Amino acid sequence: MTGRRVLIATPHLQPYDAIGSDVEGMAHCLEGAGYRVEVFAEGIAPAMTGLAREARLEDPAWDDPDALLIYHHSMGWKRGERLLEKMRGRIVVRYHNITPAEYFEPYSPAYSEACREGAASNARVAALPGAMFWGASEFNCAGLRAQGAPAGRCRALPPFHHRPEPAPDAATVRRLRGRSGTRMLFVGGIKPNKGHRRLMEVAADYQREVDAEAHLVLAGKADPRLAHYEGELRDLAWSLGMQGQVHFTGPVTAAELRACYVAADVFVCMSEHEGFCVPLVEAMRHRVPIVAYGSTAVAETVGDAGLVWRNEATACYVESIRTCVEEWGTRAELVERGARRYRRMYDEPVLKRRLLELVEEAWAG
Amino acid sequence: MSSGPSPMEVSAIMREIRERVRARRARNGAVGKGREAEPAAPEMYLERLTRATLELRGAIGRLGDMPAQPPTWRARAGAVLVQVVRRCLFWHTEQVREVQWAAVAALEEQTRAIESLAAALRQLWNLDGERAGRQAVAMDELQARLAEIEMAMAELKAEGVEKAAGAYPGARP
Repeated sequence: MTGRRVLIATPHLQPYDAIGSDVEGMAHCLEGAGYRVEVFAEGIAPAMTGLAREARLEDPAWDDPDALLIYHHSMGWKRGERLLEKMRGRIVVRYHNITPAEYFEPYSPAYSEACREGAASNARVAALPGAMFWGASEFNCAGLRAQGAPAGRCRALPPFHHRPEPAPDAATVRRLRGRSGTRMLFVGGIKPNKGHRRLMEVAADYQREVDAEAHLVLAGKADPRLAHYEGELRDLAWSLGMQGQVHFTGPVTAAELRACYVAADVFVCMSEHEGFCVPLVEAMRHRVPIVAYGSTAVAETVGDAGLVWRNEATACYVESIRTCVEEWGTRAELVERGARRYRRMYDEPVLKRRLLELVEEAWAG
Repeated sequence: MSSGPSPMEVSAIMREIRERVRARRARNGAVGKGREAEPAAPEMYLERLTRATLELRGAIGRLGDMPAQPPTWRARAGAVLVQVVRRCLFWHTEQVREVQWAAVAALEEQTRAIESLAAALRQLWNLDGERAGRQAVAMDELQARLAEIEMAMAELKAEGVEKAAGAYPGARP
């Protein structure tokens, strides 16, 4: 295995991003195991320039028949598809799922178009001869199989999401704990597929029926291209009478994010489309009980470590949050299940072992 | 819901949550209101009961009294007849009064019993609130201590790394 060449390609490489963290985690794991790893991206954030170089078609790396390419597929990437055509070695498609374009249509034609292109490229990517397919979840693997990928070549591998963990930011912990009332948390970019509207309705009902001082923390970066969506959410908070009780944190540092988890009473996820949902496993890691809408890959990610509902009335979510907050026996059970599930399925050594097995399998196959 | 040491099944927890929601909906549907439609405080019913007992007590005193009599010959003649009948029924009037006094006494006893139950319920309610409040405060304190410990551990770790770097010049932290 030592000295074998692994190429990792992704359209964009950014820090604190699910795909960026996965790429970084894979690269470190493979380097640690003695592989020669090279990372390529078309757009590289300044903080990541030390890790990757530009994915150029004329790069000789694609001509190496002994190399293995791990291609991160998360959106339409024309240059990426040409790289796949050029690649002479083995190919693994790492599938992160593509958000349906309809979510972005009212807000961003550019995002909507990128998602449409991504969906159109799914069938082409799934038809790559001899490739292996690594979905971030079984849900993603099912999506690939539906596009024509051979079932025997699809494997699930949860994404690497482990970052150095600084101490929780003391000021943020103090600020969040300084307020009385239930502290509900959701972590994720302010994007239309994340179910913020439904989440705010659930929080408003909880506030009306259970705890008038409850508040909701929405930790995540707002995208200027989706400013209209964020504006709609702020209007909704106002019309629900929650203007003082919904907090948009904006971009947060790793220490601030940890503080959000440490201070939270319950993690509530109403997201409508997820290929995996890293914040759910972060909540497990930080021992925060989870209440979630079991859409797409959410139910599979949480498993039996949280209260996951499908197509249930808002009252069910409200009662679930109340149960997590007020019934200590149930809370302790859920938290313990989450911690166990994290250790068993998502902890770094577990993912490293699985990745190395899959890389060996890709080379053998 | 059980909070004992045996592990709970998440499906059982969810079944119970669903049942609770269903029961609440049925209850709210019956009164046609939301969660605010809680039963009135026991004190309100007690006040009504006391008032009704007082009215009954007053009514007993009037049992067997002569009715109002207008100043006419016909009324006077009628009053003589009523008086005759009243005297004939003296034994019955007294029996009815006794039964009514016994009913009032029972009602007053019941009122006292309900009063003591209401007081006990109020006390329990207050105790529950205090306990929940104390539990929340204790939990917050515990979480704050945990965060402090985590921070202190991170500082210690950083300090240890620095010391190690100092002890072995050239070693990278």
